[in-house]
Amino acid sequence: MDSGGEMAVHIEDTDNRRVLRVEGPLDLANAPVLLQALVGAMQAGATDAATGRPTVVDLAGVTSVDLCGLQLVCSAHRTFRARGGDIGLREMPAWFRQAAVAAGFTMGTLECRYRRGDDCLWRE
Amino acid sequence: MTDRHVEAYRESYREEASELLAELEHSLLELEERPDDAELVGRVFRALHTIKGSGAMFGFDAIAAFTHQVETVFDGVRTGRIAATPALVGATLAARDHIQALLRVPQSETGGLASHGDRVLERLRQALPEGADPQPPEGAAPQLPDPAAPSSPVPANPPAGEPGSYRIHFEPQSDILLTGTNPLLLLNELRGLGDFSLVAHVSRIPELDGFDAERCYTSWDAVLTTGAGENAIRDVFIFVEDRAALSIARIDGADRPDPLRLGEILVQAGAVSADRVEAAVLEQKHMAALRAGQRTAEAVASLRVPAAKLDGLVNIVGELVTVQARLSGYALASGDSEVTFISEEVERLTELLRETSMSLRMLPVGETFNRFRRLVRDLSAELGKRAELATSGDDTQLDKTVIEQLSDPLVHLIRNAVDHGIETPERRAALGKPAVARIFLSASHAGAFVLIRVSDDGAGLDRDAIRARAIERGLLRPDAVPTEQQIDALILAPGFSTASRVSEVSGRGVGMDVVQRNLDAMRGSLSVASTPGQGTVVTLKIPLTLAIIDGLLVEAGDARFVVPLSHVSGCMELSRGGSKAGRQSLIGVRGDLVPYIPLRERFGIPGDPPPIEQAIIAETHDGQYGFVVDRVIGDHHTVIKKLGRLFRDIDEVSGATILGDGSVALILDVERLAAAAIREQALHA
Repeated sequence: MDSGGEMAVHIEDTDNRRVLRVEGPLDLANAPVLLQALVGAMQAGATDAATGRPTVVDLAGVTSVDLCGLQLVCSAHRTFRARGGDIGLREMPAWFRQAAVAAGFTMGTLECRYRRGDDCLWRE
Repeated sequence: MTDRHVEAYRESYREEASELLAELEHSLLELEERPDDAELVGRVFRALHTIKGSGAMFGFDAIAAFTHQVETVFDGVRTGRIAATPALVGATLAARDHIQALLRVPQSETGGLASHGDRVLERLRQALPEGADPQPPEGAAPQLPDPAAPSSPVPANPPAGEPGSYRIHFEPQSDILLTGTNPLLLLNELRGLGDFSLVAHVSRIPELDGFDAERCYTSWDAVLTTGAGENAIRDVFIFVEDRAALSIARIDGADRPDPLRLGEILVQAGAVSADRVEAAVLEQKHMAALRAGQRTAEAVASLRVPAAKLDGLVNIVGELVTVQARLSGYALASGDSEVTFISEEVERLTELLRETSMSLRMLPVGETFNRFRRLVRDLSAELGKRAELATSGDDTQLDKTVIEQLSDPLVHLIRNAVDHGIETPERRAALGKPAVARIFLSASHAGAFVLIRVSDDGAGLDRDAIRARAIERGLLRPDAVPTEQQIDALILAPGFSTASRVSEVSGRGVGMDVVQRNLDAMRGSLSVASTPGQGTVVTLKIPLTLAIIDGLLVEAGDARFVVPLSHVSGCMELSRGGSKAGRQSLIGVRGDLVPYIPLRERFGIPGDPPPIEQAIIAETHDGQYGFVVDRVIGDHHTVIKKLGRLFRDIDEVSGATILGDGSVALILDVERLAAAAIREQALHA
């Protein structure tokens, strides 16, 4: 599970949302970088139900993903949902979705109490 | 993962691989005798599979690549395409040795062993029965497996069998990622076995503020339909089985899935509302938690602890024993009943702690014994002899340090037995003996000692030749009439066995000095018994532990000595003027005349002895011996400290101990004292 390189997270704030643009491998070695950015978004009020802006994770620049990356995305989803915030994934490459499906991260998992109706993070 | 983590896990791999290689060797030697035993073939395959899989994970690429080739062959054996012939087993043993060699060299230097590895693989290929198909190697050249490739350990064509459906629950421990294991690769391996459905359970994934990127929070349920069989599924998880909870159940045929699992599946299919199944899921989770609790309890039932930590513990306990002795001495002198009470409690607890910590270091000797099957096999083949190794007392436990130090002496003794002791098959046939000679290795307890016996049914010692050699070397006067026991003991005398020609003359001797040295270091002793034409028995008497012993503390002049209690059979008073037979002093003990050694004389202690002295009667291998001292002080838990280099030539003292008052007492090596007296007696007889 060696890292295939270093990951960078570029933060782009607009009036109505914060975009976390991920570039590089989303894996065990690099997941803490995105974790830090997500925690930073929370601290900036993203999970404040009244005033928080939605957070968008842009995956277009992700070059690979492993179990750690998938778990982190799942954790971000449930954290934001539980605290009244809004988070979504953008530009998810097809191979990324296939990697999630291959790992069993499919919509409708019983334990996931954070989906709303059909609103699942992994939904097409 | 940090470099430190990686190195720690690599070291752990080396340890585990060494154990697996020992197991592999044992299984192969058994397979040679029972080539149709499917269980043995399975054991060989699993050992190879684990060595390969874990090796790839921890960056031991050369081992993974090499082992993959061997594993492929044994996959053929496992599926009945290849027969486990003696040639194949022999070649696999050579491959096992090559893996061990790869394990011992730094990873950067494995390239130097590549050509040897190629030769071993060539031997393996030549050992395949004609027309046998080892499967993947389509080209003859060895192929490097890709450790990351999910299908690498899986046969390209799963063996044809009746397809079955299995429910597989896989729940890795949370720290599994730190070992370098990628659970997704294992799931991909499963996918390669047949029709596969998978769902991840993500409920344990915490929120961001509790999230640790290095933890695995996910578990999986899978349904797999395959003709490969349950063993193939288990093989996928073979090198993570101690780091994960795994259950595999056949769900078609008679073994139907339980309704709760079905309920879950139905909810996912939208056939039943989630609410109705919620309670069932809760119950199911409850049961799963119960099972997990049981698994955790089972998992912590045994621990792998670095030997250095155990050594550290024993050292600390040793210090505690010394301090406790000081406390007891102080309590006794103070006359304070409260202090005495506390001291006695501390003494009781220290004793318990001592026994417990010593028991942690005890290991069965059988594993060491099993290593010699290979030695006997290879050596007899090399020398054109036929011999088999039989063992008994494999469960006998010994201190791990003793076991480590036992290996070299046993190698020498077994080598001697095969090389010089047993006769060629032709000679044995002429003598009416069975063609296959028997080397027998046994272990048994005898008080605080373990007796290890190495016996053979060979020709026995040639005493005339030994006597002649001893006279030639000045160890025996030409007119001396030594007993058979004294002649046998001569082969152990320093200097005697270093002459390589002795082995040509007497058939014994080479390496006996090494054996003796190792046993000295262990405070052990060695004896030889031989019957001409019937064989030789070498008995090693080894203390159970090397760290702490129970001793009898005695005093002669200003000096204090400890006599190991395991040797002591009694004490008696001795008035000056015991009888003398030649140079030997004798004392009457229950009707027998027992030789005695006054410690004052032996160690040159100045001053006059008291009018009435004490004789400690000790059992030695050479019979009873008395050790005369001024006074017996009493029992003493003796923490053995090694003597410095300056004292390394002193044979008759095996170590020292620090007494409660800070002074030093020497620990007597009663066997060596007695043996030295016998040698002196023989020299002057």
